[in-house]
Amino acid sequence: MVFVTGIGIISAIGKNVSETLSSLLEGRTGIGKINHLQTIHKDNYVASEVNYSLQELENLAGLKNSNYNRTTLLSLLATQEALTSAGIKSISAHRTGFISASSVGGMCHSELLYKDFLEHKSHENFIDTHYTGAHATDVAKHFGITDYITTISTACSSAANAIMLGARLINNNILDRVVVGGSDALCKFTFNGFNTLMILDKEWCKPFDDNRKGLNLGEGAAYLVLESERVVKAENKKTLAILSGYGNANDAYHQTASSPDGQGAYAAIQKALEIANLSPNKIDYVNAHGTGTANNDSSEAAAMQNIFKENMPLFSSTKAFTGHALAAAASIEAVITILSIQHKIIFPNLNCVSPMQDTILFPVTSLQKNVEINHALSNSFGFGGNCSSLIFSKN
Amino acid sequence: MENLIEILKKQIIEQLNLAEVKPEDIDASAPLFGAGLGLDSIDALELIVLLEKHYGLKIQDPKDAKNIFQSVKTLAEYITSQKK
Amino acid sequence: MSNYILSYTKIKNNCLWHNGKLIIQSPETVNYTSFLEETYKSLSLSYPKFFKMDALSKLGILCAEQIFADENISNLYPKEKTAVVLSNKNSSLQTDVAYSKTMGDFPSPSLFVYTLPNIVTGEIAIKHQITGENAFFIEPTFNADLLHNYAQLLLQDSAAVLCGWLNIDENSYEGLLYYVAKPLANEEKKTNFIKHNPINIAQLYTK
Repeated sequence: MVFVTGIGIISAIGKNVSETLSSLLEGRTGIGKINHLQTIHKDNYVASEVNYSLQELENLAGLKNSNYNRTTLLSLLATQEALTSAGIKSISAHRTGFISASSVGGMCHSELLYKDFLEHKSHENFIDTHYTGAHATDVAKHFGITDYITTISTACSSAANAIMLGARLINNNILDRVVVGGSDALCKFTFNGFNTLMILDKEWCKPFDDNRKGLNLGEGAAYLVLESERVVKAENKKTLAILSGYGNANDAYHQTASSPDGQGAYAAIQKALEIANLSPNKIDYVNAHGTGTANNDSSEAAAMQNIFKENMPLFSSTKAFTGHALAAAASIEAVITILSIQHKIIFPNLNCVSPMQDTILFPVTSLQKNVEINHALSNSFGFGGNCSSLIFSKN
Repeated sequence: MENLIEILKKQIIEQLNLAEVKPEDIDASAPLFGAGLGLDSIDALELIVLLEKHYGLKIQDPKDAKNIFQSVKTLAEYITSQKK
Repeated sequence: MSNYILSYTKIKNNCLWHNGKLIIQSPETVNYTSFLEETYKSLSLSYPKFFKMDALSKLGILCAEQIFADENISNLYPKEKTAVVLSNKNSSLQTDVAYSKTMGDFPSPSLFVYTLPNIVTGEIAIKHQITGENAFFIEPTFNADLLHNYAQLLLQDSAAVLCGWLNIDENSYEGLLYYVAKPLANEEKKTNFIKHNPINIAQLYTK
């Protein structure tokens, strides 16, 4: 059995778990005017920015001249909180790993510095941090994690896949505990590219609404500390939730679009249920991928309808709070799902007013308290057909 | 119009990387999407780029493009209509 | 009981090897984009979508093609029980650069689509309808241990895993894909199968 013993998060809705919870409870979105990213789209689009400059993030981390890029600093801050939350005093006391996901890596840094570098050979040391794995290596080194380090890059399902791998390594007694999650900073390259695909909503996104126009990009990082039953018992540890199921499948339909009936999503959810040994009607809440694009929300609704049939649980997408933080999305939402379980609260799917015409499903649109959530499903579906689902259960 | 259609066929082949297709293979009235050339949603976005790059015409919403991109002929008709 | 590598393809220095045999060779002076497209033609593939892909996906498709062209492999296990686990160092860097050059005037959506390393996994999955698990790892160098361990974990539930390394540098590229499967009763007796372990995997890469 794999236990979640610590969580850490930084996103537009808060620099830690406590701030995140307050924002969710108060219906306070992180999506708004773009302040930090110097993109040509600044005045025409909204995004979900972590409200700290690079310098301020360094200060928060208690560092000076670290040469860490934004992705790395976000990763470091969230990892720090997760480790503290898990009460880990000595990293080397057990076989510990770090599996992190990113799509942007150091692009947020390189895109600002490369022209200068090509002309003046300045900022040479940023080149090494462009490499997607640099953030994982830097953060693992910072915390003294040495037993297993790797980076996963599978678009929007990346962090879920990091969590899955971590669980497998624990279940197979390769590691005793592992810090798993992801980090992505906003960058001009990503913004430009998503704009080119015409899947950005210039205004605040509306997941699962019939008039939805696209997603809002976000940034952030979140990590879970997963530990084995043996370590939890030996140290009499407080646990936050159980990672009881996980599943991954390829949609095999298109490089970026999801199949209309959500086959990949269906297969991922089904595998997660099998691992958790649960029938669909045991799921009390689904934190949907729900990006707000025409394609994803229809596809995901179709998949959920096929799995759950007449037992569709309450569901919501929290991306109208956090935006879509790409490779970090799945771990950000894993933390939110765990908070739901812990506090018996379902956070609303903001901005959903008109039901989609191609489905009977409609999300929870207002805060629901005192909800007994024994098992919750969290979906994350990425470009490249990579579909992942996680199931968290109450202790 | 005929000339425009022939030019468009070449531009489409180039923009969409249809390496194994020759202009004479494309029927100007046949559907571009679905069967035939089997274009997909990303190709539709590239056609939007083509319109802007070669003809200075901007399409804001991909949904508007559905009728315009029916066939090479409808595309040519759209371009001609915008020039007036 | 061991798992076995039943088939592998290597593309490097404008050469394509399948199961250790040289199948295609082009002069090293030919740039890799041309080489990949020439190889597509030499293999008489009929898959127009190939020309829309970026170099990384073309590389992956060609490596995978050799493996799945063998019916003994493609019919061995159901595709929903087949996983794909790929890795590289440079992610989608070559395509990122190509896309960034279009960012000034007319950003290209079809290029942007490929600015994620796992799209090649998706392309392989689409062509061969592989709907099992899939992952993409970023590692500083080819990591036989990682690929071996991960495939072994997956083989607890999956029946087969297509593993490998597809990396493109500014002027060079390398591709290695290999197919690992759970043994069927009589397959172990076939001597051309390679035992699935990190040493053998590393050898496939360095050979």
